[in-house]
Amino acid sequence: MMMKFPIFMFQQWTTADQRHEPVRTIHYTIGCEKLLSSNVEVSAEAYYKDMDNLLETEMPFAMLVDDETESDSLLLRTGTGWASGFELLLKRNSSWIGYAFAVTKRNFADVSFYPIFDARHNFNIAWAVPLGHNWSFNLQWIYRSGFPYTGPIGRYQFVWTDASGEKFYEWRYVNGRRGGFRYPAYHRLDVGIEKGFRLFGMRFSSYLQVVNAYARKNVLWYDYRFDQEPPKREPYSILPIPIPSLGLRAIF
Amino acid sequence: MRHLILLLALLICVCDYPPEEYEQEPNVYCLLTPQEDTVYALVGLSAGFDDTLKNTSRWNGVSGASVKIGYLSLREIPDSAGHYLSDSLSIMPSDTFHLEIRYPDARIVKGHTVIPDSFAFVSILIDTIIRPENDTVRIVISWSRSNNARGYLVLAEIYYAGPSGIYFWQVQYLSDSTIDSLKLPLKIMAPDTLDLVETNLQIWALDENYYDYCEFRDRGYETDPTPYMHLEGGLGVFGSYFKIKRRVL
Repeated sequence: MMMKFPIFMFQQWTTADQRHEPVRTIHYTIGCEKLLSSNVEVSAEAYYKDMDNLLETEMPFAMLVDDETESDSLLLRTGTGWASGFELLLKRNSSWIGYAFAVTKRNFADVSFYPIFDARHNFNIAWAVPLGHNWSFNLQWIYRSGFPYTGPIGRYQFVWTDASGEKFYEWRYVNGRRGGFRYPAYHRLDVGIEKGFRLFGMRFSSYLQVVNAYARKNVLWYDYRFDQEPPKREPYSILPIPIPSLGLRAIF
Repeated sequence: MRHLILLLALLICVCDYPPEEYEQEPNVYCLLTPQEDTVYALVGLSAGFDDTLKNTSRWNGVSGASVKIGYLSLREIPDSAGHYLSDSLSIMPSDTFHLEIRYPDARIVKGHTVIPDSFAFVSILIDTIIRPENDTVRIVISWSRSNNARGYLVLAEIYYAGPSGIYFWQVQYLSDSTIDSLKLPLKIMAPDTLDLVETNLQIWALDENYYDYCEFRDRGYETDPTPYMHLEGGLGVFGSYFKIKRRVL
């Protein structure tokens, strides 16, 4: 039989109490930096982090849905975890290219899984170009591989009977391995233009910034339509359109 | 450099799960009661999430399974397209019945249930209409204890007469109390525009398996069903109950 675990769509934070030991972490890191020229530098860093006494609630949203639930009565379980990875950065003036490879794993109740914030690859490029006459153009592209989530993989019939004895066959869902699926990669491009000027002896800059310039529909979560046959998985996005913003910045 | 790239590629590949395949699981529904000689066992299979099912309102049955139910010795019961039926089982309170199903692909599902004892209504008191919740009738019920029952399912069948005919409404409550006598206030809606015709009360004494199965129904989709099913090798229920019924209004 498949192992089944609850869906944890969000990470829930709660206060610890006297029954639980504080989280203990041992963090190992090694890195190096080198100046390639007066304005170009490169750096690399690798790390490993060992974590003990991690806590999570046994029921998701326990504090959020039940007003009567107090933090000291929450069913918390203790687990362990580790995180490891490396980061590379090449920087020139205000522009840079960065890449991070990261893996983190948790172990609760003898189940080992990738937690919901485990992004394997992170790529970031920022480019700032002076255009002359105090104008500048900048862009930033962010790429992150998808977060894990727990989703349904099967369904079975749950039978219930009403007072008249009539049977109803309700389809219920079997979740897959915890964190066994991954959302699509998240990426977006932000572009902006900025003009610097002086006013009343102070430095100002006005800017126009557009977030998510190519209207990437990054998936935040999936909503399942179980009333359709076969069931449908509909993605939900935040900010699936370019978001412009206009601003004035004062520099003291 | 080539070795470093290979090492990184290997590291990246091993740090994720392979795609998860779902294998159909045995799915069973079978309830026993000393009040009926006929036993139905629904034997079927679960489905993959993306599978297209022809008729979702029917039991997804499996033919050709060997279904055995018994008290001291197991007896095979005949098959009819996933609905296995027997009308010759003698079921007595406090007996422990065993179920063994061998699927055509040789998978085996096992379970057992202890039949709840008979019990009876002790009193049924009809309270006055509660204010300010107008038109709400409260019924206080007490009944004797049923041995081997993990809890009770209280069902109220309410029939109203309206302009277009008779309407049926059902209220149900799952009680996990196991004390000898129970009192349960049950609110029944009686809207102004409808006339209350008849109310019947049913109380089911449930064994542990069926009680947990009923409790699971109200749990969210994120809940792991395994602790509620009590079946070895499959999903579903092999449980038992004893039912009493009385007209109260």
